[in-house]
Amino acid sequence: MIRSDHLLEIRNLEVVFPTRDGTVQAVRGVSLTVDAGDSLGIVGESGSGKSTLARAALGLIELPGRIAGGEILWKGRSLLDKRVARRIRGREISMVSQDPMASMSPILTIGTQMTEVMTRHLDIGSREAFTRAGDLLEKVGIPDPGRRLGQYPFEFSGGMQQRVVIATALSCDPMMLIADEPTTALDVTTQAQILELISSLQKDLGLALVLITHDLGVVAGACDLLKVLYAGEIVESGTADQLFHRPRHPYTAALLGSTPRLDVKADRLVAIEGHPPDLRQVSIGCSFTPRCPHATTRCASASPVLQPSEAGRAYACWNPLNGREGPGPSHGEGRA
Amino acid sequence: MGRYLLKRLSQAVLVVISVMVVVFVVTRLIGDPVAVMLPLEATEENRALLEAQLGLDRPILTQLADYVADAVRFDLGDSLWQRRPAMDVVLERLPPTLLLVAAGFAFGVLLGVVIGVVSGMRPGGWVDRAAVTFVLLGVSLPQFWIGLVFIVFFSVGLGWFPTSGSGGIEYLVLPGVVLGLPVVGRIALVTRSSMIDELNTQHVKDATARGVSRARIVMVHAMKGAGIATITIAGWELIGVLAGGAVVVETVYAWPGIGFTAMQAIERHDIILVQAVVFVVAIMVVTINIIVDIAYTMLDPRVKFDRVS
Amino acid sequence: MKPASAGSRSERRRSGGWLMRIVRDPTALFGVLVLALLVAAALFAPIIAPLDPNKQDLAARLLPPFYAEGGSAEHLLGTDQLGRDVLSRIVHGARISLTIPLVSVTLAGVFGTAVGLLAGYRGGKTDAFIMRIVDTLFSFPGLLLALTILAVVGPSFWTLAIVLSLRIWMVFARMTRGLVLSAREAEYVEAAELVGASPVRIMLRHIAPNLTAPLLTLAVLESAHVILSEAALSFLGLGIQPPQMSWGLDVAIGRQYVFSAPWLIIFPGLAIAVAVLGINLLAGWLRVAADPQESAKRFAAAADAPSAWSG
Ligand SMILES: Nc1ncnc2c1ncn2[C@@H]1O[C@H](COP(=O)(O)OP(=O)(O)OP(=O)(O)O)[C@@H](O)[C@H]1O
Ligand SMILES: [Mg+2]
Repeated sequence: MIRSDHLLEIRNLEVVFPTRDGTVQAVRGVSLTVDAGDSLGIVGESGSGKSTLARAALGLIELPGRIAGGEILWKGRSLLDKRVARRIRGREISMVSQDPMASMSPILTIGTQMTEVMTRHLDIGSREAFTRAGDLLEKVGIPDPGRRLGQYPFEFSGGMQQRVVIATALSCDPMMLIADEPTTALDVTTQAQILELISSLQKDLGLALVLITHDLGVVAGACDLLKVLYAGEIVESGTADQLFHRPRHPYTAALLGSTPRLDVKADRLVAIEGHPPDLRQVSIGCSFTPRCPHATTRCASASPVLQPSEAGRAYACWNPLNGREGPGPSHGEGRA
Repeated sequence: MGRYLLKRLSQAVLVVISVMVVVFVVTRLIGDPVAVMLPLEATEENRALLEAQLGLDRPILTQLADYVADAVRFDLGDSLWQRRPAMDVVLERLPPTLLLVAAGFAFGVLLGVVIGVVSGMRPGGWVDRAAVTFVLLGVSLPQFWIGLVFIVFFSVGLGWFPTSGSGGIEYLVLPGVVLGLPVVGRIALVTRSSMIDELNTQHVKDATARGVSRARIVMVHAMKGAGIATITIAGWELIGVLAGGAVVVETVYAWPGIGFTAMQAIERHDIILVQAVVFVVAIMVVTINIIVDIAYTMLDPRVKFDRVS
Repeated sequence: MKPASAGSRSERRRSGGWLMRIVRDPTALFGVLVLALLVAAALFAPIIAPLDPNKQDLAARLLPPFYAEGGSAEHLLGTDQLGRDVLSRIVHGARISLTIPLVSVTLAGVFGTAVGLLAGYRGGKTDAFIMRIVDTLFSFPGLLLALTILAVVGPSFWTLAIVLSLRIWMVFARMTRGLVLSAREAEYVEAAELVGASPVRIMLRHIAPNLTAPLLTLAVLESAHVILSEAALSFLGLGIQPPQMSWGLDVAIGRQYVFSAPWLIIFPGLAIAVAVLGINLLAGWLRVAADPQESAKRFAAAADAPSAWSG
């Protein structure tokens, strides 16, 4: 057992996927901690390694992928140990994934799939598990749970199905919930409802929450702490308030620029120009250089490390934005 | 469900009738049944007599109508060789075939599913490589040849089983295994690839993340999904065994079923009896198809009877 | 370091072209060699075969193969009941095992593909009608019906080839239709249709290229089936007739001597098995090689088990 005072502690994690065309370095030296009751948001573009990080935290990196370095500790015990991970998965750490319709087997009933987790992890029989499953469905806002338990996933709408998945994830009273883009596959109104549900459950149950998304707007209300992931590295971290109002890393600012905000009426959604780097050939400098409006020669030749700065925040950038600057150069402040 | 079944049944009847029409057209129009049936030294009078006896001197459409009408009443005429209703002969020889087919098919499906599941669980592993090799041999070796090699090896060489004929269970072993061997191969291949697909689905990954055990994922989640894919193939295999494999294997082992009977009838130029065998097999084939459809619908909740048609 | 070395290895892997890819894969290599052997035997049978396959030598009847007692180097695989050389008959038998699938699969492939194109392209009622016929034919009792037809019409090379192609053309029709339907959904085809390209042009330019690889693979696979069917029918006496030579026919003849001269069935049967195995392996390799997704899967599986099957 390695000493760790945190619920979850990830140290210098590196995950690689060997493919025919080279080795993808999906996660490159990520460190983070989560304590009981925390709500942490992880934000980044598609392909930045968010899901890989989440799966690694559940001991779920499958071949050909492997963990090339670092540590993942759950209450001080290494989740790299398959046996530890197996006991903790679903019991102490649960996960909700992106597409609710693909998340459960289409040919087994909801009841079967909810109870199979409970009968394995909790010391209860199948009848008790069914009662519990019914209560859980009620709690996540699904009416008529008795009938619903006998139905199949395709008989639910996307939002309803995501509620079922959340109920299942919470069925063994876990201490931490990892939600990997839980609202991406849903329509806007349902998104808000699901986020609200996750937030309220987190507060009621005192869960630690790790919320993964590519949309800063999603984490803004739900998370206290944010980490911004770019090309497998954390480029900035801090409180939601800090990152939202005073981004220091140009990438964070760019992400803000591409996020529709309710308080600022933007005419259009500004996508970040350029493409994320090829993770098979990692450059020696800062990986955001080619897309960065503030890049200098130094950026291309040396990689900045994550530096702690004021008030518990940190960023990895040679030319950080001025703290008092408004969010994102591409974002109009006033109304048009 | 009732309406669906009715529809399927009428389709099945249509298939059987078209099989019989094809047989009719081939025998009466392309071939010359009388010439085939008569011995070489037959005279012109013998020929006319047989033609009249078989009703072949009537207009062709009348013949076809009568023929179909009779077939619908399960009357296919008298066997020339046995000199009694051909249907009686076939029904008499049917039980041994059913026994052999059941044994061979059960062996093939059971072993095939086991091999497919085990190798699909770890594709590329040594079990998988051994299984795939075995399976490839199973689908590449000619059945009649394996039958004969088994006789040479197990019956003549080791004396474990009788060389041919029927009787106790010991007579069933060799033909059953030989009949089932290609089935093992193809069922294993299909089960293996659908296991691999199933185990790679998002819902299996998510079930693992939810903490469902590997054993339950394989035995319940993946196998139910793979089973749905396998059942269609199993239906085809059963049809193949019945309409193809059984003829060959019964002939090799002189197993007194309808396949062997068909070959004997062909040797004796008894077209009527051959037709009766084809008729009965066609009925069994369409029945299997219906059963597979129903099984499929029961296993897969996404498919409803009203949507199948 | 790592990505660089992996990258260069994959470069080499890709740069070799088709020939290198075949040579690198033992299963494909085996398949190709078997096919080459088959073609060579069929083309140059009289040169390759040590003796005249039909020359009877009653003094040398039922001689065992070279390894057994009484065997000789003159008749490496022994002789049959008429003193004919088994090895020479196997070499000559390759002709049928090559020509029958060639003819049957070509007939079935051309006809089936045409029907499939028609169904897939016209859609609607034409499609429904054609597919109803195809489905009906799939429920026909295959081999038994073939036996019946051959018994009535009389077995010969051409009746055999046609009957065998009648059994498999539906497979081509069904696959072609499926491929056409999915190709038509592709954006570029929709676009071509929108700008008013002619159906023939769309078919040739946009749809046909998607058909070649899968249909070729299917043709190879079906050839294996046809060889097995030909052998079975010849074995049952309703396929190739003497004095033509076929491996299945030789097994049928050897059957009467199964106790005293087992080599008469062993070797012709082995020839069938090797030919079919080789073609099956080739078909399997083609399927993987033609499908990038499948190859990536194979790579992942190979990474899982270091010494994977394909080395
Ligand atoms: N099984 C795998 N094999 C090869 N590469 C992989 C595999 N899984 C992930 N990767 C690669 O790792 C990188 C990170 O992927 P990941 O799925 O973690 O991104 P993500 O941030 O979750 O993206 P998204 O928003 O699209 O879900 C990507 O470049 C991806 O191509
Ligand atoms: Mg993801």
